[in-house]
Amino acid sequence: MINNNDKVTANQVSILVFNTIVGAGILSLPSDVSKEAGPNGILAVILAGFLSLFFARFILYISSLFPKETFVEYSSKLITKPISVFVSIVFSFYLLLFVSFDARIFGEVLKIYLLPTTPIEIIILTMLFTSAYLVRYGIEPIVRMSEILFPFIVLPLLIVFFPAINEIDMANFLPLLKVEPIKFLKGVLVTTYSFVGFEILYMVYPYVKNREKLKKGINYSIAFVTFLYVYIVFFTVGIFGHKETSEQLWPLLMAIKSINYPIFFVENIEGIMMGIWTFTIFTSIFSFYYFAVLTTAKLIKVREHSYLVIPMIPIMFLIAIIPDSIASVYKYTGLASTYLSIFFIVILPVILFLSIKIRKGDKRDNEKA
Amino acid sequence: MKRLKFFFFALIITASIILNGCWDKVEIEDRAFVMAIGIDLFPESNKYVVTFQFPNAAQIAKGTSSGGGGSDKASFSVSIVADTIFSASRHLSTRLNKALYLGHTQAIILGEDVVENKEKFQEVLDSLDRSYELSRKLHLIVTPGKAQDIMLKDYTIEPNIGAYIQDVFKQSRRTSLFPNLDYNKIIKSIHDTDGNSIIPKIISGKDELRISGSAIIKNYKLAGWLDNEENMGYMWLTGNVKGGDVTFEMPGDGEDIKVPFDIFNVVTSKRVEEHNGKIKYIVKIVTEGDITEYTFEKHGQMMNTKILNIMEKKTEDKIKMMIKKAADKFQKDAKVDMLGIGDYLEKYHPNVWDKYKDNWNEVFQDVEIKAEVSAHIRRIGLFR
Repeated sequence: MINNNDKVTANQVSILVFNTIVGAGILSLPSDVSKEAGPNGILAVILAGFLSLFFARFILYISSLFPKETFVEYSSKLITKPISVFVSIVFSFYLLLFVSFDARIFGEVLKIYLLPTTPIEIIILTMLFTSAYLVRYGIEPIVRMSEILFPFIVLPLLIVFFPAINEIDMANFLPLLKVEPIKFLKGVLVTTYSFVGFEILYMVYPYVKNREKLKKGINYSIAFVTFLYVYIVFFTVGIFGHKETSEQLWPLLMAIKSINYPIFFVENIEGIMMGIWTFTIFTSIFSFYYFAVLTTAKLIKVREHSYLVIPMIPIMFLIAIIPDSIASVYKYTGLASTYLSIFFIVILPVILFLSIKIRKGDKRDNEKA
Repeated sequence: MKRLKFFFFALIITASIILNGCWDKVEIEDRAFVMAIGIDLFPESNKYVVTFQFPNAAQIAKGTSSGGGGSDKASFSVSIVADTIFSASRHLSTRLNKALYLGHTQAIILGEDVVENKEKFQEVLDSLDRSYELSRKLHLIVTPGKAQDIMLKDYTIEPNIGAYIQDVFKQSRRTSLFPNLDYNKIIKSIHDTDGNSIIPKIISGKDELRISGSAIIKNYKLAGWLDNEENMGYMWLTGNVKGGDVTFEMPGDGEDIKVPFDIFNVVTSKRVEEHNGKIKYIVKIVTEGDITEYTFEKHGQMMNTKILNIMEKKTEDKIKMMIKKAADKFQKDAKVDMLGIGDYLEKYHPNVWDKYKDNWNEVFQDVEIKAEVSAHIRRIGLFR
């Protein structure tokens, strides 16, 4: 049951996918890849970008075989009802998990840089309630919000590094390809947390008006995500070198902190960047949040997803405040993004694809008989 | 109508209660914007002496007009003994009527005893690295002596030590006598080489500060000092010379004449040759400059290109001498590779590096450092 107000265009979905992927991960991405891939972090990010593109298109292809149904509905045809229900519950929880982690990291960063005396619970709750307000109104306001915030996310991030261009030491990226293949692949793996988000393609397909354009749109959006990540890793590793980058908690903020802005009278620009980064987190949070709610709504077959929006808040809030310290936050995000994400991005599409093939084979056999 | 009025009244009251944002404001003259920090060890105990200096905001706000309360001093320095750097900045609030803010710190001066103590130096570096407030662009400097002595003095030229040091660093390219390294570059070097770095040196004169030369840090510990010439040699080797002067001697009628060569352009390139287990590191320096002084007795000779060629040769020799001194200092005295040779090998000749990286510190001492210098005199001033 999709009414006409809930239709969005392919371009809007592409922007939504971009905004969902770019989230809390950008803060720590350079240090994660540098730790594993050394000076070749950029290559690891590029490879991860290609892999993401491949699997995003894979998920899109599977969804496009069932143009009127979301994941919850079509998976029950493919992998039997009980397994499908179980996987959908896990999927919904998985999306919720990312809302919680993003909200927690957002709270931690904001507390350090902008609101030192505000309790972190208040920061997280404010973020969740703001997102809830948007999520209640469905997919159209969400993609519109994404469209509006898109330039505010991208432009400052691109501009803020310009003054550092002569501080880049290209020798920091040498030697090329001297890193062990296993470590390099590990470097690709740790970027997963920064690249998750295109799983929303499992759910979003029936809402798109001009579906034939979606393939191209997804190509563009993931290519642009990869470009942005390469840009950030290039500047942070170019300024610090991979050894120092790998020891920092949030190298992106550190890099911004150490750039000299010759024309600006402001000295410490990271406060301003924090404000802009809030948009980045906000777009990720509301997108994950909406699709978590949507999955649950489809699962228990309620007509309106908006009933479920508020009841989700306590769950997400509790998950967000469970980790004791910033160290355990990153431990949990690491676990979630290595095991759960790999399942939903890599393993699940393959299983679905195989079962489609098997069903088709069955059908053909039946027709022959 | 009456209800509407009541509604508006209630709205205004609620708004004024919930929407006031300034309940925890701190007035600007109640803040101490720390500009410089000095760190020493407290003798015979496991503690630090931390000195903070901050400008007198009330004095700045008052401007030139007299009157009003407060002291007339332009800046204040306060010292405190504490277990850690952070607790120093906190415990100071028991003695100060202002809230310390470290975000504008321009300079941190370390006493010699801090850099001589490996554990303490690592603690200090970690404290600076973890800080949310401290800027990465501040200047970290070492003094042979007590940082407190520098911090507690009144300087007539510029009473605000942080701004003073900042301004001196801006002029680094005029002399090349001290390396223009900010905290960001020092900490990068320490991270990259596991504890080796070069840190500029500061000493205080009678009424002024002086930054010149630098300290060699090896394995988080002071390993020696570079004097002005050695420091310039080090900067030639690493390609950091951006300006300054090289003084050489020309034979005169009686005494030798000292002639300055004013550098305005330097191009450095490096290469490495390896012959049966021996590494040869070759630095090629091409520099351009002016001759700005000679002598009256030689008037009319400067248009002679032969004389200029001799002068170019002498400049080259002088630069080579500086490089030799610096290389000896690093290879024989300090025995630490701060010349970036290992770094260069790792990046451009990874196969060679793999052979030597395990005992690089020993191999480095036998590396043959060769400088190929060519100096070009472009201008001679306004007299022939």
